[in-house]
Amino acid sequence: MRLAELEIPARAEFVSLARLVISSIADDRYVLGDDQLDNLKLAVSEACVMVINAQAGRAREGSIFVECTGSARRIEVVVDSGAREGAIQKDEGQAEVEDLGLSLMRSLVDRIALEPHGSGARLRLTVDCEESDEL
Amino acid sequence: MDLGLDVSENNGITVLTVRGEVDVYTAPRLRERLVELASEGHYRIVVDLEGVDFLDSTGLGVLVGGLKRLRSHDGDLLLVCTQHRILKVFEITGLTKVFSIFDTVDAAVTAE
Repeated sequence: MRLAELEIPARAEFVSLARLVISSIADDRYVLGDDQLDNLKLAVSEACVMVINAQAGRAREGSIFVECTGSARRIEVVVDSGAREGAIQKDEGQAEVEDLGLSLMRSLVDRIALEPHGSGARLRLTVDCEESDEL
Repeated sequence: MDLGLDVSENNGITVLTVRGEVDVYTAPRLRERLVELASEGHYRIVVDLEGVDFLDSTGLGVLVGGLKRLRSHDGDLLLVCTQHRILKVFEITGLTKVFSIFDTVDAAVTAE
């Protein structure tokens, strides 16, 4: 089930919007501990930063696409640039900070996948959790 | 999104108090402040993260950069943090072995 789809400019000031929207939806629809919620927020933020870094230096401003889907037992968030150019590269041998970001994401969510997409890759973050009974 | 940066002195040690969210948008301001302090000759700095709600890898990168800069002048950058959500970020990345992290500003200043 698709819970949210966002397209935001690939600029630093919009990253907080993405993490707030996704964490609010996750908190509303699923039973998540504070730790899980904080982890999801940080993982989404790191994924958006990867897209921004992948698009750095492009003449035209790009976008970050964030899609959040959910089933009874998991939330999935897919983050990509939605473009053929400036996509996240599957080569993980990147800058020090980006390595920190990937290493963080791996520890924060239950599963992370770099899936081939266009000329690069997109990030799929999966968090295992229970759907809220209040729905 | 607001980032608060206040500089004070405690027993001759420079204390940089950070409040708010340190992320890809706000971290450059933290970097600028640390660079300014170092260029003014403040080589021993305690960074108080107790008021920080969110810290990402960009913020970590800035703190690591600050630490390297200060250590190159025989100085140091000490952290104050007791919040689990922030400490966790240092633990995951192994940076608890790189930084000295204290519970209070007084404890960090005394350690200096």
